Amino acid sequence: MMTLKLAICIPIRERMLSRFAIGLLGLPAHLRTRGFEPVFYFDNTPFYESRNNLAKTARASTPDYYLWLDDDMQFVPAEVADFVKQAIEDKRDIATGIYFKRRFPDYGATIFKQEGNSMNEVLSWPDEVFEVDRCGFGCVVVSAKAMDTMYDKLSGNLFNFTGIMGEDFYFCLRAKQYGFSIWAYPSLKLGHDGITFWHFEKYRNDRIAEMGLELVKDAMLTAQKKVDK
Amino acid sequence: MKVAIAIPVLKLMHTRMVISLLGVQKALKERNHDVRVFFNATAQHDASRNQLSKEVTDWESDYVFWIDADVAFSQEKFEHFFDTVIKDDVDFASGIYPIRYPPFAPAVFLHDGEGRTEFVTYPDKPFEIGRCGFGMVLMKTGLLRTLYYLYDHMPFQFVKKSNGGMEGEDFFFCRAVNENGYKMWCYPDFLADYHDEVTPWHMRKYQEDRLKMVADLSEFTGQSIAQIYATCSIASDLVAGKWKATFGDTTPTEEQVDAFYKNCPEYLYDLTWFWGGGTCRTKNAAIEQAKWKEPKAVLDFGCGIGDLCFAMEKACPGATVHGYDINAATSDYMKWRIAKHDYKTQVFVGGEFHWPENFYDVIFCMDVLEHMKNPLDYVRKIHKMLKPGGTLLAEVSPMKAGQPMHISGNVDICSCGFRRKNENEYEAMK
Repeated sequence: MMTLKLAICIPIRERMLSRFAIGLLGLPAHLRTRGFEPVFYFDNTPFYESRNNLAKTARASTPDYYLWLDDDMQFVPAEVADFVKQAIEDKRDIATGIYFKRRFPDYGATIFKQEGNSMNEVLSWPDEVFEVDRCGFGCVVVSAKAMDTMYDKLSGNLFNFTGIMGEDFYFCLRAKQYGFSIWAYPSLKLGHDGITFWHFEKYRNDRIAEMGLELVKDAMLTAQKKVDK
Repeated sequence: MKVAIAIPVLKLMHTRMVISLLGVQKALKERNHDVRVFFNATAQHDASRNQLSKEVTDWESDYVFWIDADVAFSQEKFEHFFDTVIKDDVDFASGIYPIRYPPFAPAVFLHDGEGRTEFVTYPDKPFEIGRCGFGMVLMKTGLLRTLYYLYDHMPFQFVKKSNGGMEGEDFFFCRAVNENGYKMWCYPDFLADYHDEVTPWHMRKYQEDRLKMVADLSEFTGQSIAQIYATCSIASDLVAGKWKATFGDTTPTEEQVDAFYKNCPEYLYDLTWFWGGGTCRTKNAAIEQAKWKEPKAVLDFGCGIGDLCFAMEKACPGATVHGYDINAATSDYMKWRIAKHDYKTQVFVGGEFHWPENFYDVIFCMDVLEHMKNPLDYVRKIHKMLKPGGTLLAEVSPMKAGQPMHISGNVDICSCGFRRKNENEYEAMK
């Protein structure tokens, strides 16, 4: 069996959730049994710089594939290894697992489809692999071909935090423009730990602006009841 | 060979440590060892380690590597450590990392009954130890298995000490190792890069040390603990203020400087805070340096309230320990402490001292010379008092704002017949 070099790229901070660390430490053994040699890359600069730094550093070692992981993911190592293997066997250039946003109360999935001029959350999905237009970068496999193409065309600025969209959405937008497709694998379900007040406040403020205070209260109450059940 | 890695974890781990651990896995894999990582998130470290002990013995590993979630080190250092320990065929080996509170001494200790004596300096080669923290320990699983069953599945226990303090679960294990005839080794090459979390337990110990010093001064002065704390916390400023009030911006004469220090009770509080705060890392290092020389006679030149003398008494039983100072207030307090704690140190104040020649093996002169108008005169006197080849351990703080008492910043000790051996150690050339 030919061994493929897999660059695992992780933006990090000073601390790491133990759940993520445990998953991460379990990963190499499972990847090796599936024919991959993992090489880890870490970077602790701000997230948008971090991804560009990681891309630059990892590219220098000419990996066959990249696995982007965020340090707030929670996963079963064998499932991630299976996902990587399956995505590569399916010859996908970009493939993501499925996890949910941390914003209360709408725990939507971080995969999106373009419908007309709007980019909508995918609310339900089939059991099989399906195509999407945008995804978060919590757990994404990218081929060397896609990385190299985009790296050259974007002069290394693959993950551009524009203020209008996140750096991961920017990557997806450009990838689609350059002809790469993005695939979601429902077989890989990941946990997404941590919620910040920033997320909560922003969500609430957005909805207040949209709907008015009373409606928000009502919506949140309904959501809370669902959570309580 | 089957190697288990055992890690007690809480919600967060240091990212550096996780990266270290990935390196450990890789290194062991490259040696064709069967590696398995065991985690346990039980909040109590004793329970966590006991459960991990069960798991790694059930797995029938050959070695178990204990690592804490807040230490980090390089893969290369681990590889060297692992290979050497396997080659040396020792039962128990620890790396070395600093304690997380001042004075940040290594978490390996001499075997000295219930207490814990830190190695502030240590040899370059593997050396035997009595206790150690469990931040990075490699041991034969056979040893762990023996103690696991011998201590009724609880080889790690928190134990209350006779002085009321708590002994950590790792120390209990080390005691069990010793009591059952195994030896423990420290491999100083395996040096952790990070150990940077301070726990409430550590903070409490730090505070307890300070409280003991404050309680002594409270008893001596008749002031309340609160008064002592309050005065200590500003004592450094009080001394500086007194200096400014006495001399202003003028340069005092040698006689004036001596007169200032002969009557400066503020130093009682300043030195209590300084020694009780555990910030005197250099001093602890100096004590350790002096101890290895096995001196017969020691002098602390500028002994203040006496802590360096008392530490030397403990470190070098049987040695003659002298203290010299000109400050009447601090010397009175030191004499009171000697009587209270039954110390053997002799303290000489001002003219009581006879400057014996070729008498001392080691002389300390810590944070003293910078206060003197003509420091080299005293360095020459110190040189005369030392035996040939004797050691001067000196620290000279720089001149800086807020410390107007530091009137001599650059003291060329070597110009008075000394050879500098390292940062603060000088050998008397005679």
